[in-house]
Amino acid sequence: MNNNAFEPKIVAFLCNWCAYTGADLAGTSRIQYPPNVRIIRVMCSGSVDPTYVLKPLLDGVDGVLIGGCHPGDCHYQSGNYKARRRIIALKQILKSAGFDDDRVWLRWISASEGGRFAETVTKMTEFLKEKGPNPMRREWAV
Amino acid sequence: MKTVIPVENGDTLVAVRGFLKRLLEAGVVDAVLVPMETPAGAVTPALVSDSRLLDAANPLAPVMGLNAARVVGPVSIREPRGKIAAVLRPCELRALVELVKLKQASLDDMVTIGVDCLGTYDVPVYEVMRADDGVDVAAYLASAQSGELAPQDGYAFRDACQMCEKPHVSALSSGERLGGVEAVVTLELFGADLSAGIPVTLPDELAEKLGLTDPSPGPSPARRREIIEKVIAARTQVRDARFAEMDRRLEQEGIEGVFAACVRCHNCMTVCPICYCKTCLFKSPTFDHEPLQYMNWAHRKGAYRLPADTMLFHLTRLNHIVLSCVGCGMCTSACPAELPVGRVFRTIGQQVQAVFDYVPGGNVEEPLPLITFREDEWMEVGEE
Amino acid sequence: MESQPRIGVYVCHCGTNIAAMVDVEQVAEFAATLPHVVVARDYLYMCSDPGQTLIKQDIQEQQLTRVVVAACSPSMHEPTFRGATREGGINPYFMQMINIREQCSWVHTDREKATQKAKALVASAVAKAALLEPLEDREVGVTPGAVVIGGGVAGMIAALDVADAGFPVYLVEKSDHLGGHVADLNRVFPTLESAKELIEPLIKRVQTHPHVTVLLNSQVTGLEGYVGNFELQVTNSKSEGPNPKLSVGSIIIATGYDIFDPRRKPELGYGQYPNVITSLEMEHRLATGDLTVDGRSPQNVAFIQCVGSRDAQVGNLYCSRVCCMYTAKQSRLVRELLPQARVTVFFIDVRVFGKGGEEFYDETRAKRVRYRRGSVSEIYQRDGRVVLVGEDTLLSRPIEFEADLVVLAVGMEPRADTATLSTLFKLPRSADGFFMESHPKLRPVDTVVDGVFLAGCCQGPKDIPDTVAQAKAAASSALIPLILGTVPVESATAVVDADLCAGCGMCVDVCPFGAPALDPLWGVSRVNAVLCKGCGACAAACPSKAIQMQRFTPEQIMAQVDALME
Ligand code: SF4
Ligand code: SF4
Ligand code: FES
Repeated sequence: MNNNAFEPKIVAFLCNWCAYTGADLAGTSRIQYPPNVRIIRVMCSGSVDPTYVLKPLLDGVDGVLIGGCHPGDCHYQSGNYKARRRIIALKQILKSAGFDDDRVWLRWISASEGGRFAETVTKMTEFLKEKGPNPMRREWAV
Repeated sequence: MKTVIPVENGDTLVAVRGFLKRLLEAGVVDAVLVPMETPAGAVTPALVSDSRLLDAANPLAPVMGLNAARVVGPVSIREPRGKIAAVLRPCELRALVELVKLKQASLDDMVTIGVDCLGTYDVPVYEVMRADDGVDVAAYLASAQSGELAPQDGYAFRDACQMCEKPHVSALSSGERLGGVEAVVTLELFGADLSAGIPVTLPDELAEKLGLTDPSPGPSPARRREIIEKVIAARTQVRDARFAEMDRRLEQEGIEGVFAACVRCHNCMTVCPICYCKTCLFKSPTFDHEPLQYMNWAHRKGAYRLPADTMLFHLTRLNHIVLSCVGCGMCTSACPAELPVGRVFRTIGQQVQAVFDYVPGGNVEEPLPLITFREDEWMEVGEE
Repeated sequence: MESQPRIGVYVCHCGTNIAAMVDVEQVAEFAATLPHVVVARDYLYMCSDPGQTLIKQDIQEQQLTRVVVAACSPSMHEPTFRGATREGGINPYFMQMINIREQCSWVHTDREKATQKAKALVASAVAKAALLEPLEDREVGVTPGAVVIGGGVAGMIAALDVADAGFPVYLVEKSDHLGGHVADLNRVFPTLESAKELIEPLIKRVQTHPHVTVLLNSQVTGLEGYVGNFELQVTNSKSEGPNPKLSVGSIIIATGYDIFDPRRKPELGYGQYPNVITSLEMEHRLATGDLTVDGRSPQNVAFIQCVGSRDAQVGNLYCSRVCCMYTAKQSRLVRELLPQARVTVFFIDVRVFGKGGEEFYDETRAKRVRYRRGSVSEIYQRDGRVVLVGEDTLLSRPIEFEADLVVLAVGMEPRADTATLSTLFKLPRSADGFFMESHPKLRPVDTVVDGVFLAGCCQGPKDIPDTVAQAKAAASSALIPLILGTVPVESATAVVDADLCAGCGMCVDVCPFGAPALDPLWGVSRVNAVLCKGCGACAAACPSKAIQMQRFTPEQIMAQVDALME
């Protein structure tokens, strides 16, 4: 266990049909996970504009999770395939620009994977605790 | 067909002008889009329909104040339109290919005339050179033959030109590609004695209309290849050193460090040939904030960098265009804070483009990476 | 331009479901301090009539223009609160829900942190609510008709109800006959009427009903579309011809169950000793009246309950709900056929809760069927008979019991093809492996997929009356869209600001439904709202945000993000 007092903040964009429903299922199944995640519901992972991921990161959030349906399962056929390319590009840009692209996670979570959702949040929280706060939390140090 | 535009009295420019005039006079096109010299000596593109005025055309002037792909869009995008010949540098041709994919320009009814590029100066540098020492055109054109591309003493080429490894053109109709940027007509400067003649490749039918029926091999392809390879090798060396240096800076300072002095004037976006939005999102009300909002941010972060959203602007712009960035470097030229915008975009762009195996400005048929997908790619992503 | 929004925030206790882990009063107090919030309340059950009345009254009395409800998942109650908002007199889409039950109180154990999180979520909902745009309800026509998958009792009853209402029904059955497991039974409890007499008229009605098309040897192998307009691909295992595509408005899944295979408990000797049979085999024997083993009439008959149910070892924690009753029934029938024999039932608990169940059980015991509380851990053979070894759990004494016929009361399991169907229909399964209903109490026949309903044992073990009840419920739910003739579709669609659109056509390229198209005259994108499904792919691709998804605009999302950061 990490006894560090640092509590990472995670913003999660979850698609309505799979990942968000999976989070609901984690709730109805009472699967516990760390309270560090704040969910924003979107209709499809394919609707997540990279700017929406950049905005919280630059504002100092410690991690951004994008949750969509597994390949083949997107409610809108191909939103997650497009999201996959977009997020891969975004992560490469972040990495090349000197940011920690590991703070951005893309995960496929189906409506029946409440456990996987909880596990993902748990893992991400632990991972970010190890990593420490996003340097963008405070832009100036003296 | 390969031939040579004959040069009389060693005046290469007059020969080029003559070639362009013939395009108009033979009725091949309705107008020529070409850099023109104002009476005061400034250079700017114009759409010329009166062949006599082409006496002011100067596509060989070593100055670049604009990526002309930007102005090709509006004159070509939809019918009805005229038939146009556009004289363009390799980086302009590449930008044009991206703009065609983005439906901001059309190659229909268009004769692209690509010209090998020997390097260009920024406008202010060119102005000083003209005023103080004069431009040594003969030496500049002579460098094409030797491949020793060097700026005039005491001056420097534009930052992007110094590291440009795609300075040459290849004719669409010719078999040998040499990896050059494609155009319908190509003026092949590299390896040629331009005081004697200008090698040109063009479709047979067009050559016939222009009365260029005498096929002439010009300088040997091997010679051209040798010179091009020499130029590319020198430029690549500079490029790679700069990539390495910028990589180091980005890693150490982060993009927020490199762009720390940005004043968010949006000049880089305004001159970027790829940034095609009518109104940039960052100029829209989406990024108008309430005074209290700024106060909240200041409270949250202790100190909040202004102008607001500057890094979001640059990172979003990277997201929007870096896959299509052709590295023309107009952004660097336009930046009042003299930030290395182009180097940042090229350094990052090269890495992102590699991920998608995408070469911007290459093939009009190849789809933009972010609007296509394959179901069975990156299968491991998202599953961990 | 609208004047400043006036927002009302309603924090639900959900009884203690939320209030136990989230300090709802504190959340409401906090909400009251947020920009544009004019009233913030907490209430025991926001979805109750008085809860909804609160919203309606406030809209009228406080001139609210936006409503935020912090409660359960929008998949539960978004329609409820949209309704209340509409009745209050403002556009229903001015209501924003935020989920502090599934996302806070049910998944966290630290009350302070859960409360903190709830506050952040409420702040983000308020920020978004301030920017919400009014929308109109939209609907599309429904393809009349339903597909019922599974030709057992559940499927047949459901099919008949839908057909009786006048709609075409396709009954898709995997095997070559109708009737399901009930067709294999002898008599049914607690009335002891013949299963044949029960099922055959049903089959006849189904076969002759003018609105029912029975597809035997058939399986659903493909699914497209949504509630109101589904397209199902059906594959026939016997025919070579083209596979039919069925177009219907709703779907009922009634695929039933598998019987537990007692070979998975080898210690019970099933398959090794002729003396050990399953309850289903007992049904056949009771039908023929032949109970002999090796030509001899058994003198000592034992029943073992809960085989494959309530058994962590085989992974089935649930009760199969029918074995107690059918064991009572079978033991009674054995008693009648063999008046001299000893009939003993080994049970863990006796659960005979149905109508007439307890009475039947009492009568059975009065007819000298011995009930012995005990678990049997092993069966072995000795001199042509079998010996049951176990423990008498009442007296805590070991059992050694000789019998010449043992009946294993095998339970129910999810069908082997449940996983396939679950993937095809995107239906979640509950921990027991059966299909999951959308709410265990309030929506027991609905699924998370609109327009797809569950009937019978595919959702969990049940007896015939419960199966029929659920089948009828599923049928009536499935009829709703068919009778209405329209279903609501996503009201939020993509919209284009033509002044911003540069005509690059990225939205056209990424839209899977062909909704946006470039106007050839103006070179700008226009969205055909009828085709738009509201996925937002176009908006993500558009660099200038000339095309935006209603309810998910960049302003709204960034305001949400900002509020979450506090
Ligand atoms: S031109 Fe320079 S100062 Fe202006 S926005 Fe671009 S990087 Fe910033
Ligand atoms: S929201 Fe989705 S369905 Fe609607 S136009 Fe955009 S991409 Fe197409
Ligand atoms: S709907 Fe879940 S990823 Fe598209």
